[in-house]
Amino acid sequence: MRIRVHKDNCTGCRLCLQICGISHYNEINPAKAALRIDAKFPNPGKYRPYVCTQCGKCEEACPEGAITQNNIGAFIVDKEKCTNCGACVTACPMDVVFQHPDLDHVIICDFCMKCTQLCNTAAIVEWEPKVKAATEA
Amino acid sequence: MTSHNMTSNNGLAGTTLKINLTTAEICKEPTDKELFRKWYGGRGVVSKLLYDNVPRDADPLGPENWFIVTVGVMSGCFSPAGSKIEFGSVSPLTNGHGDSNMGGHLGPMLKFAGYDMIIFTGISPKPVYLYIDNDTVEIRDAAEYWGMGSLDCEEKFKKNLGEDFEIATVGPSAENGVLFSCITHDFGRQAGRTGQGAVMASKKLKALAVRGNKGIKVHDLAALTKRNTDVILRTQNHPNMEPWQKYGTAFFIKWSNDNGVMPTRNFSTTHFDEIEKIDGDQLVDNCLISDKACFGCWMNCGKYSKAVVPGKPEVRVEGPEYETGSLCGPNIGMNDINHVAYVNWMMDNLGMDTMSGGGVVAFAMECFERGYITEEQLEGHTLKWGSIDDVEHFLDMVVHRRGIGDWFANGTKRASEKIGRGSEKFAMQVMGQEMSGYDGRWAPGMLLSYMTADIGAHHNRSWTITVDIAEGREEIAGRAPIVVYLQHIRPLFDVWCICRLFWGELDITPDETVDAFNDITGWGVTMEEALRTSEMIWNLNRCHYLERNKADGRTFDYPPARSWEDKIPSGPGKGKGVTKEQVEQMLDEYYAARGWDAKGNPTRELLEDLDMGFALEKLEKAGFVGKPLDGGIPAVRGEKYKPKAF
Repeated sequence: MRIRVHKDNCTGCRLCLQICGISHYNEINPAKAALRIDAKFPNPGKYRPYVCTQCGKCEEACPEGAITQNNIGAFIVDKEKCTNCGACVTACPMDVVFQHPDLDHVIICDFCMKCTQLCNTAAIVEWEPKVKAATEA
Repeated sequence: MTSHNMTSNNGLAGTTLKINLTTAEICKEPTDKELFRKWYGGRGVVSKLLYDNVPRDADPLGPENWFIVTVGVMSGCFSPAGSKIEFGSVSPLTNGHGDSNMGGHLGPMLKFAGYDMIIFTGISPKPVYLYIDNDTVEIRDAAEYWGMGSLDCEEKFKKNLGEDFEIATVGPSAENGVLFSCITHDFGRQAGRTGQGAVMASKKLKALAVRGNKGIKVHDLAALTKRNTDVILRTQNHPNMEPWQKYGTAFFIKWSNDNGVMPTRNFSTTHFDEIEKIDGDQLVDNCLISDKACFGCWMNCGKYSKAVVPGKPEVRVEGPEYETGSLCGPNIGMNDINHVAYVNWMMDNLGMDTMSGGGVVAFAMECFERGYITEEQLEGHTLKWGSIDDVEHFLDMVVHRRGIGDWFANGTKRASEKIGRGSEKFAMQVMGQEMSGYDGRWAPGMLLSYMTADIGAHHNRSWTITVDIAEGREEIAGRAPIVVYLQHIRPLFDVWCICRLFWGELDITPDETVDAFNDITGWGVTMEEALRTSEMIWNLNRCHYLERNKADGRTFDYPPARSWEDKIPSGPGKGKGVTKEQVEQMLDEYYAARGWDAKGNPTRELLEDLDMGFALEKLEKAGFVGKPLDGGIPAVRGEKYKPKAF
């Protein structure tokens, strides 16, 4: 299970960031979300969401073996093992591994899909690679 | 009323900043929860603080005026379109209570940094900006930003501080004391009305730069999350969603014209023959770059656009939205969407309200057409309907207060006093604030709304136009209690600091919003209590206005004489209009519906009924308590009307 990004559709509303923080940390705090939105104004005058692509670079970089892929493809952080060293943050090519001063572990998307449900412009959509053609249509 | 739930923070961040710009003293205090509980935050708290703390003889642009920035309890929380930030100070334009708000992302970010409110007093000896990065709060030198355009300045701040800072700026218009200057954020969101930008700049405060990563604690997060998630999922396929996302408020350009209420050439008529050149389709087809939403909003009505005008730089601007599109479109004779967008950009970057700005330009154009101002006074330029070059030059004179630009920098009311020759008849304002983008001659409820709004001729306090169209547009009787009701329910959204556009467009009721408010605060407020609080705020602002301006309320509540002397000359509304007698009748009915006397002053019985003894005392000293009404005040002020639009 993955998230497909239609970058031109993003309106920068940050509902995805809000629901992500609420779902995982029980608080309204977009800074605890596992995805990010870039706002580039006035040029080119567009938003762009960045999400985990499941490339696995975080798992490779982790010196503690704290990151493992689960059966839906998500890279799950073992909060006990994670030392918050930041190696995965550096390794992530999309800059979607996050740290927050309140937390002693990193934040990585678990593909719960709460964000895609709320996205009203299909800027981020749930996507199964095997049904790629149907989703694109 | 339930007791406070002390385990949550009631949706508040917890800290208020008090900043004396004269001494550069920054004070952090716990947010006054009792104040927020009673006045709900946002516009309510602003009204109370201004009423209590700004001396009645204080110069709005002087050190004694307060400049308040506040977020309210719902903004930043997971509430429907909870994005707003509220600015308040005594208005230099109206000389009364002033407040204006905007969406975008600054409000929520201020709360994520840990603050509910910032209160500025004094005047800085040099240009500064306020830097907030969570607990770090600094007054920083703004020499390198002073003089810059609002939009240019925001871009520079983002470059210097980082894209993750949210920025609010004022432009050269505000720096030079143009009374209808705005505050700009997010490359196109404005707190435009009542000259809040002029007050901010009078304190030598160029900008706010805010970043934060703290969480907000609410009373019942699970209930709030379920409620708002359900609301969003329920409305994603609402029939109004698609047109709203496509056009935003520009949808109403054609609607307004078709209904004969489009202000055209300084409100001389209500129908623009070339509307198809500037309507929503033209905006989408010719200018649109991307759709933009405020924080937490799934309707994305913001249209980020480019304006391409031969001989001028290609510029980018958010809009033109309805108000700008009408007042800087037909009202100044613009018949090309790129030109409208370019005027939008000019005013945005100069940092002036496009609504008052459009009204001022239109008034000046009519003065020029009549020969009341001359080419010589315009430094050798003309000022003709629809000429973008003329507008550009005129705005330059206004912003730098050069020559007669100085008159117009003070708004249409004061400019007409300088020009004389009966020009006040077509200076389209009330209380010094220029009218919004609807002509009230064939929409009497809307006209009454302009006449009685607490900040001058502004539409959003009671957008009565759809009531007029639904209930009969020549009907006067019965309109007043509906206007009163709308003046209570609509400003609640400014109190809550959330957007109101989803209400009419997506059928999300204010009652549902009260439920969300209670999820956040735990205060157990009923709609009845909320409306009562809103009525208290309304009356408080009235008292403030009377005490400052020292005259009976009725003397301030008249529209310019064009509204009753001239019938609409063309278009669907041809021949329509109200009489002076009807204007008087509407005021009589309105005051009666409010529990005010015939002079437009709140009565003792009313203020006591609203538990506003503190205001009664001051109003009495000023000598403007209304005479007792025969038969007493109405038990309920305002009459519920099911709105057919927002």
